[in-house]
Amino acid sequence: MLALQAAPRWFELDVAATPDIIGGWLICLLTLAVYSFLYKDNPFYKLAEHVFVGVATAWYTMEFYDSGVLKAVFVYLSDAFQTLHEPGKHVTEVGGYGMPTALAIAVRFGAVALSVMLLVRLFNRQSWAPRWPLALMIGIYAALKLTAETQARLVSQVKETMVPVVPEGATWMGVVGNVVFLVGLVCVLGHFVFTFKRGKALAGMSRAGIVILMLTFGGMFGFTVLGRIALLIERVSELASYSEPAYSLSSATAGAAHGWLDTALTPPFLIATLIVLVLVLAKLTGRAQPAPPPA
Amino acid sequence: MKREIPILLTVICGLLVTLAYFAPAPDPARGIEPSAWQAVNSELLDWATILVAVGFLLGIANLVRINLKQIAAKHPDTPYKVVLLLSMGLFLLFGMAEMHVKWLWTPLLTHLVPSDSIERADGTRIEGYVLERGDKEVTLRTAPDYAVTKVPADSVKSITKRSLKIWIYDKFFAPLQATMFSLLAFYIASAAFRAFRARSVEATLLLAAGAIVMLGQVPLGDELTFGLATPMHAFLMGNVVKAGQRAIIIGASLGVLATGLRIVLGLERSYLSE
Amino acid sequence: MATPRSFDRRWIFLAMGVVVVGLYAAGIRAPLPNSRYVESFHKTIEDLPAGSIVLLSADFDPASAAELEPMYKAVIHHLFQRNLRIVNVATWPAAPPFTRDAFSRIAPQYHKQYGVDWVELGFLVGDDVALGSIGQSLRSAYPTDTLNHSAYDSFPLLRAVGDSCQGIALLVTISAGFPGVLEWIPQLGSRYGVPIITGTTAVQTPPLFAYYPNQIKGFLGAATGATQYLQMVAENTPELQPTRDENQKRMLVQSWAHMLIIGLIVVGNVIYFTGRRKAQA
Repeated sequence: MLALQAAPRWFELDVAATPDIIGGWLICLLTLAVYSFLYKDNPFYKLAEHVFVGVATAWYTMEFYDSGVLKAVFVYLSDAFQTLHEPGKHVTEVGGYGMPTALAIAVRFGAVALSVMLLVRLFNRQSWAPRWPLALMIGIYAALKLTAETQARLVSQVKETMVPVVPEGATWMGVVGNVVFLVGLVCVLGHFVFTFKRGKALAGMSRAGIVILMLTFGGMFGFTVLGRIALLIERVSELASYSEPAYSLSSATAGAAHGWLDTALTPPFLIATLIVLVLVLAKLTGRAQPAPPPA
Repeated sequence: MKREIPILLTVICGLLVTLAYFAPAPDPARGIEPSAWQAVNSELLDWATILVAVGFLLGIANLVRINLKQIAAKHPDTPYKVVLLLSMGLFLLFGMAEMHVKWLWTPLLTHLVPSDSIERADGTRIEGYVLERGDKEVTLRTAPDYAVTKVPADSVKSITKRSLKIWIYDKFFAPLQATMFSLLAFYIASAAFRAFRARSVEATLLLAAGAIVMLGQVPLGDELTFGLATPMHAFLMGNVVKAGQRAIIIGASLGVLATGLRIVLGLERSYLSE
Repeated sequence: MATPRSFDRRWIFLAMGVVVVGLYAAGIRAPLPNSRYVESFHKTIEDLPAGSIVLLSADFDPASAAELEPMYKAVIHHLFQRNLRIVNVATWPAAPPFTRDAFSRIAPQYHKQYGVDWVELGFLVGDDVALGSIGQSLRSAYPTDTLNHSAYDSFPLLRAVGDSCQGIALLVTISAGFPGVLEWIPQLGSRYGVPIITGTTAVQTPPLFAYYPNQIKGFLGAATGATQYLQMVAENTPELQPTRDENQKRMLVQSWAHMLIIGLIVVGNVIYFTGRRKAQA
C-alpha cells in the first residue's frame, strides 16, 4: 500500500522516498498490460511478460552471484589471504571451529574447482565433469533431509500424537475433537498401507481415511481461494493508490480539490482507457490477432 | 570410474553430513566446544551453496543461448525475445556495476551507478559512493579521483542511498510478479463455475469443506451462517485437517527417509541420468 | 448456454473484477475476531525478555507480499516495541528490498541503532543448505552484513548470537513457500531447539495446524491472520493503524469475493445437473 508522506518527484532513486511519478506510470502500465491477457493474448501482455522474464532472471542472477560467489568465494578468500599476511596466529573459524587459514583456503579452492567442473556443461553436455559437483550436492541435500526431516516430521509428529485424549480441563467439544483427530489420523495412515491385501477392516479404515483426506483437501482449497483473491485485492489497492492527484497528468496538487478530469488523467484510468481503445480498434480493423486462450 | 567416483562422492559427503548431525552442538555453558565435525559440516554446506549459485548461472547462460538461437532463426516472437535479452542485459549491467562499486573503473562508476548523497556534520553535502559504514569510520569513493578513502564516522551526519537496481526492482520486477500471480484469482473463479462438480460424495465433501473455510476466514461468514462459520472452521482445521495433514507429513517423511538412505548409501543412482 | 464449459469465461473474469474493484472503492471496513493461533503468536513475542535476540527471516517475494508484507512490518513494530534485538536474514532472493524498505521506515520511529538493535544480513542461497548453514554457524554463513558491508564480528549483536544459535531466543519466519517455515522446523527448531513462530500465505497455512503448538508456538495464517495480528499490534502503534484499516477493508472485499466463488460453484453445479437430467430424460 502506498502512503504518500511527501509529494512525489518526477524521478527519484532514493530508496526511502515517496515513489516517483514516472515509476507510478510504469507500474500502472505494466500491471494493466498483464491484466489485458484476461481479454485475449495481445502485444501489451507479451511485452510485459518478456520484460518480466528478463528482469526476474537478472535479479535472481545478481542475488545468487552475490551470495554464492562474491561473498562465499571472493570475499572469503580475500579475508583469508589477509589473515595469512597479518602477524600472529593464522586461524580461520569454520563453523565455529578454528582451522589453520592455509588449510581453509585450500579446502575452499576445492569448491572453486568443482564449480569450474560444473561450468564445463556449458561447452560439452555429455562430459563426465559436471557429475562430480552434482553428486556432491545430491549427497549433501539427501543427508540434510534424511536427518533433520526424520526428526522433525516423523519422530516429533508421532511424539506429539501421543497425548491424552481427555486432557485436564478439556471441554466435551475438545474431547470430541481429539477423538475425531485420532481416528482420522489412524484411518488416513491406514489408507496408505499397500504392503498387503486389504481385508474388510483395513478397507473400512481406508474409506474413512478418504473422507478425512477429502475434507483436508477441501480445507486446502478454501485457503487457496483466500490466497489468490488476496493477491488481486492488493493489486487493485496499489492501482488505486496511483489515482492520487499527485500522479495525475493535470496540474492538480496533493490536497487541492480535484474533479473527475484530474482522476481520469491519473495513471490507472488513462492507461486502462488507452489499452482498451487499442484492443477495440485492433478488433474493429480486423487485424490478425493471436488466437484466444483455449476454452 | 565415470560412474563410481560420483557415487563415491555422494556417499562420502552424505555420510559426513549425516554423522555431523549427531555430533554434539557447541554449548559453552556446558563446556562443549566446537569440534572438527562442525567445520566439516559447515564447509560442505558452503560448498553446496557455491555450487547451487554456479548452477543457476548455468541456467541463465542456457536461457540466453536459447533466445539467441530463436532470434537467429527469425522466430515470430523475435522482437519480444530482443526485449527480453535487452531488459535482462541492462538490469545486469546497472545492477552488477552497483554491486562492484568498490572496484569499478571510475568512468564506468560515474556513468552507471547513481551516487549517494552524504551530509556532513558541518551541514555541507557531497556526492559519492559509500562502500562501508562502520562505528568508527566511513569508507567511500568520492570526487575528484574516486579513490577509496576513509573519513571519521562522526564527521558524517546522514547518508541518502540511491539505487537504480532497487528502482528497477520496485517498478518492473515487483509489480509484474505480483500481477502475474494475481491472475490466478480470475482463473479460480472460472474454474469454480466450469469445473468444480459435486459428482460424488467425496467431491461434495471437498466442496463443503472449502465453503466452510471460505466462510470461516472472512468477516461476513458468521453473519451469513448464524454464527456457525467460525466454530465449524475452527473444528475442521483444528481436528480434521490436522489429522489429514499429520498423516500426509508422516507418510511423506517415511518416503524421504527411505530415499535419503538409498542416496546416502549409494543405492540410488537415477540422478546420474543413465 | 448449453453447459457451464461452453460459457465464455471472460464474463466470469469481469464479474470478479467488478466485485473486487467496486467493493474496494466503497471502502467499508470490518474487524475480525482473533484466533487462538494469532494470540499465541502475539503472546510468544510478549513473553520474551527485553534485549532478547530474535532471528527474523524474510522468506517471501512480491508475489506473496500482498499477504505477508503487512505482517512482516507489524512484526518489526512489535519486536521494537518490546525492545527486542533483530537479526534479519532472507532465504528468498527477492526478499531483501522488502527488508530494506521496512527497516528504513520503522527503525527510526523507535530510535533504533543499526548494529546494536538490528542487523540486516541479506539473502543466502541454497534453500535447506542455507538454513543448515545459518543454524550451524551464522558467522560462517554471513561473513559480512548487507547494509554496511562490515565484518560479522564488528557487530556486538552478532557476536552475542554465538554458534548453533545459542543466543537466538526466537525465530520468526514470514514464509511464502519453499524454503520457509516447513524447512526451518527441521533445521533450526528440531535440531537446535529454537522456538519458532511464523506468518504464512494462505496456501501454506493448512500444514501448520499439524505443527502447532509444540513445533511452532503460534502462526498468522494468510491475510486473515495478518489482519487479526495488525488489530492487536496497532492498538499501541498509531503508525500501523492505516495498514490495519486497509487490511480490514480488504477482508471485507475478500468476503464478497468468496460469496461470488461459492455462488459460482453452486450455479455451475445446478446448471450441470439440470442439463444432465434433461439429457437423460
